[in-house]
Amino acid sequence: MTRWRAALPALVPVAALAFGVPLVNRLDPSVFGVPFVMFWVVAWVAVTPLFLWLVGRLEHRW
Amino acid sequence: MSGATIALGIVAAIVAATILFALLSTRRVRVSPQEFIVGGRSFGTLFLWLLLAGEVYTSFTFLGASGLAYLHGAPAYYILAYGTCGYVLGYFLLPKIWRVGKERGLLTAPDFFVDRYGSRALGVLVALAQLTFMIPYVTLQISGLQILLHIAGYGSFNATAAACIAFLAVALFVFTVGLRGTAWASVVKDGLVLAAIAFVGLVVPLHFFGSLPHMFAQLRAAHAAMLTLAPAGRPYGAVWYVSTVLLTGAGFYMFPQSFAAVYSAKSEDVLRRNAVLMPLYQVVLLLAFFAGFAALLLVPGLKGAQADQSFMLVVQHFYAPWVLGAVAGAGALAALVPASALLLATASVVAKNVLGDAFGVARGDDARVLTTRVCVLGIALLALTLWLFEKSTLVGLLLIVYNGITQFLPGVVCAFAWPRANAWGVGAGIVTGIATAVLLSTSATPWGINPGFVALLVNVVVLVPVSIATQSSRDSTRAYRPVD
Repeated sequence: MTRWRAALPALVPVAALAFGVPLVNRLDPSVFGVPFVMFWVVAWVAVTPLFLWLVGRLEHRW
Repeated sequence: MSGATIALGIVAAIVAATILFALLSTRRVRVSPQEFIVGGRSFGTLFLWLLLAGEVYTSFTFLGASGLAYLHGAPAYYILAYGTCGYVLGYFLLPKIWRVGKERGLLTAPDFFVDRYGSRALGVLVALAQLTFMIPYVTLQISGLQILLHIAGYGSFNATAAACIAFLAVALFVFTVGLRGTAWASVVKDGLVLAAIAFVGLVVPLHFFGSLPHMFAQLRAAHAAMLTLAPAGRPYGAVWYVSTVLLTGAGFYMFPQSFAAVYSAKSEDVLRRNAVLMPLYQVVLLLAFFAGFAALLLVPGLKGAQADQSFMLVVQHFYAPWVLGAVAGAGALAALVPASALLLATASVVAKNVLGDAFGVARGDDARVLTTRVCVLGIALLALTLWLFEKSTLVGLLLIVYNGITQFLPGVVCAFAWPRANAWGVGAGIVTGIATAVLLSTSATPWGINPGFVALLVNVVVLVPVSIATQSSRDSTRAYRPVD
């Protein structure tokens, strides 16, 4: 796997957090009462470590 | 004893105990510039995590994030998003910077520019620009401190004077202990800040509203429009959000204290592991939003810079003085510990790259530590002076700082990615980028786009042709070879 391909998973959370937010800019469906757009941001922040860990695996760092 | 005495006594005890702890944990370390400024390049994953977290979670996190949620609602989500984007960029960029720093013995952010682009003048330019933007960043911490002391004192005394004293105490602390002491102080600070933010973000909403869904139901009834972003084109709308997340994410690691933290790492993988783990810590910011939203329902009607006080007022109105003291003490550390890292990094930049490189002052090791220490005090006084004259909201200050600091990113990325980039191109890019950011900062931008983002584009558009036009045969020999 080439180096730039290994980096691709890292783009997913960035795209979701920057460009995705205006697309999901809504109150419903709310999660535990939290507006959907807020839940979206928090959920993507929380799963970002998985994507970066995957990049490390693809680069054979760990 | 009055409530103010109890609360302020607890704040003072927390700050004093933290400083004492840091002093004791660093007392056996021999002081060289390597040790004082970058901790001897010896920090492992956990210690570096604490240091980086200590620098990232500042009084802005504590007060500004909740203040922004209180004032505008949804735009505050950008704070969660941009830090995470910053960590993603950091995963790729920081190990490269670390390797160069280690091989060439770099100590400061301008050192990196001097080494790669072979120009001391560029180093001086970067150093002076960093000094200019770091001073408002330090004043941001003093503003936070003053708010906390004002509320902990129940408005009964002159918090401005108290903030000045506390701040100078911290400048003296940095003067004594350097980076390692700052990292130790972060250990105490992070524990207390987490506890305080869990209290105001979870316990307070549960206490007053029964559950989070109940709180959000009330928010939807009263302030539904605040909970989503305004349409594209409005102030704080969707265009503002996307451009601000990209800009501040790009600038996340361009601060002088970030470079110092990068150099302090023991290895490249320490930095990568940190980048993977840090977003988990970012999630904690959610609690600051809850605190801001709870405050909006409990103490409505605060305007502008007052909103930064919102959740502290909730604690002051509804809880015992000792609770207020403990929360304010944690908040005071959240201002003082990052301020010490900012002061140290900015001082080392001025001492090494301006006084040392440009004026030939203090090139020996002992003399360099001494000039760095003197600069710590000088910059602290400058920041205090500026703060006494200029007050604005915490988030307003922070965005101005980011607009400037981010202009260093093209030069850092091109250092690795574009062999033909040279000092003229990078320097011209930084100057036009900062000029654009300053010009646009006072006027409304089209579609509410972040002015710093426009400035960053201008920066790149200038960097590329100027580098090509001023090409010399030496440029590509300076380029860093691509490494795995």
